[in-house]
Amino acid sequence: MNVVFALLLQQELPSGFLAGMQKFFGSPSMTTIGIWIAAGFTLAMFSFIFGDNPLFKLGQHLYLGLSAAWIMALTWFNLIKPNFVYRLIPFLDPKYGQAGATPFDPWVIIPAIMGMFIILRIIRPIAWLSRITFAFYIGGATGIAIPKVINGLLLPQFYSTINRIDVLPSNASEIVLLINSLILLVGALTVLVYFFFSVEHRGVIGRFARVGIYFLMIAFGASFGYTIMARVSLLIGRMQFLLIDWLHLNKIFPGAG
Amino acid sequence: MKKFLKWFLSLDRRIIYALLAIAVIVPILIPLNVRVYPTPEVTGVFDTIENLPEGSNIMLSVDYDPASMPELYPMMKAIMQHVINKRHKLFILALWPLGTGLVTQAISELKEVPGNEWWTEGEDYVFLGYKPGTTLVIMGVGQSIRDTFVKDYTGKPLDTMPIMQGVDKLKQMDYLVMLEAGIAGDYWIVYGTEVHDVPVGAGVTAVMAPQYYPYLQANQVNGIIGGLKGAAEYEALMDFKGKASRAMDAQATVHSLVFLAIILANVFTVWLRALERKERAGGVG
Repeated sequence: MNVVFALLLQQELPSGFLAGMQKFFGSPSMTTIGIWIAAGFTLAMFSFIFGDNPLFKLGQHLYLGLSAAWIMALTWFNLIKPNFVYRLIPFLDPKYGQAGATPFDPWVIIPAIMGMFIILRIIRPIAWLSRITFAFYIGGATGIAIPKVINGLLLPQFYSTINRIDVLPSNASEIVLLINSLILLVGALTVLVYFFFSVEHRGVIGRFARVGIYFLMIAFGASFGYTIMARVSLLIGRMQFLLIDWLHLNKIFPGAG
Repeated sequence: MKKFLKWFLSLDRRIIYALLAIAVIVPILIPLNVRVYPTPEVTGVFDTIENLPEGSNIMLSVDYDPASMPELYPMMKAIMQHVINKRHKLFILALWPLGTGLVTQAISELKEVPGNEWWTEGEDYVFLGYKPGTTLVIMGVGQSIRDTFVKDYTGKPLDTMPIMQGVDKLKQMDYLVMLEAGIAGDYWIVYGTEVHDVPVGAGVTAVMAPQYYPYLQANQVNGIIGGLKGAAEYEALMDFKGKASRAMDAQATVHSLVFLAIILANVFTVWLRALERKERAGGVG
């Protein structure tokens, strides 16, 4: 509920109204109602085990609808209003004429028009206008991204792959590091060979590609293991909510949590 | 035997779900108190925050939504509590819109923790809120936090806040912790920390953890807190038993069940094939 107030605080609503709302939504009875609603929708989601059903659909649609509404409200109050509306029409700013008021800035009309062009994609005869925005956006993003990705991603990763292989180890831990680096190097090269489809994977190339497949399988295995862990974590989170926050079973089972 | 093997290998998925539910519910109600051993990846993040001098600037980027809450929320709370314990300054921002609600929830919960009463908005922490355009926000924070956000999440001008005095750029941060359920972490590294030379630690969902190991190998992050297990490790390092630590009993039980199911399914498949081969050979003979 604090979130709702954080948003509402953006508005010049009477302080008494806000305090009253805060008291109402922060009350224990409202919290209990909120937990019951959340528990109901959690069970509705779990009902998918028995196939698609109206309860599941209701929960799914409500979640999506609420998320979209939340993002829309957040975008309007935190972005469009202070960064566009108040800059273009400063007297709408509640702080107009006071210190900290948003200054008049007509240049915001340009990004606003370019944003509108994207929406115009839905009107076929003038859909081509969106290309201007996309061209600007993609051109700008690419220009920024290329040098930064090379410096910030490609070169450090390349360096870390070949790092340490030119240093003679002097103790056991350095030997382990060297072996680790060699495995990484072999893995990187063989996987690259596997994805090089311009040459038929036969003979030496085929054997290299085969080793690359083993490295890929190990990587996918690690990924799959972590994915299972993640999904189980989500289930545990929901179960903790249902058993402890909703049903308060920790009162019957001491130490439950 | 063949009948049993066939029955087992075509088990109704709902039976597996039921077993999974039991494996989750029982350890939640009757804790096994599984011990959690912190890994060097998680210790990397913990030690950085622990060893920074009091009053250091820590930036927390909240780039996830309620779908990843069970994994990343306990992690976020543990990190924030650690920052409070060490009396560092905390600068929070969200690159995902739905992350804003989670931040305000965590702040209000942490304020109710005994001993945290002194923790004051605008002095000890600031929540900058959400801005769209991930890469642009990161680059903006690199140039000027004030110009990028202007006001905090509740609309208070950043200029008026004591925490913002003398602080305006990403490079003035002593540490960045990014909580990631998507691609924003890659952008932080490419457009933020590599450019401005800021040490960074990553708290990520378990699904994403393998993607972050190359960054760790290349010293582009100095630690990874991976999923609920990582959060439990962080709690263990803080000597505190939170939701993540308590979830480890269920996690261990489910993993054992999955492990057993994989082994049994493979053994039974090989066994069934051997039986069928034997039958075919007998028939031909």
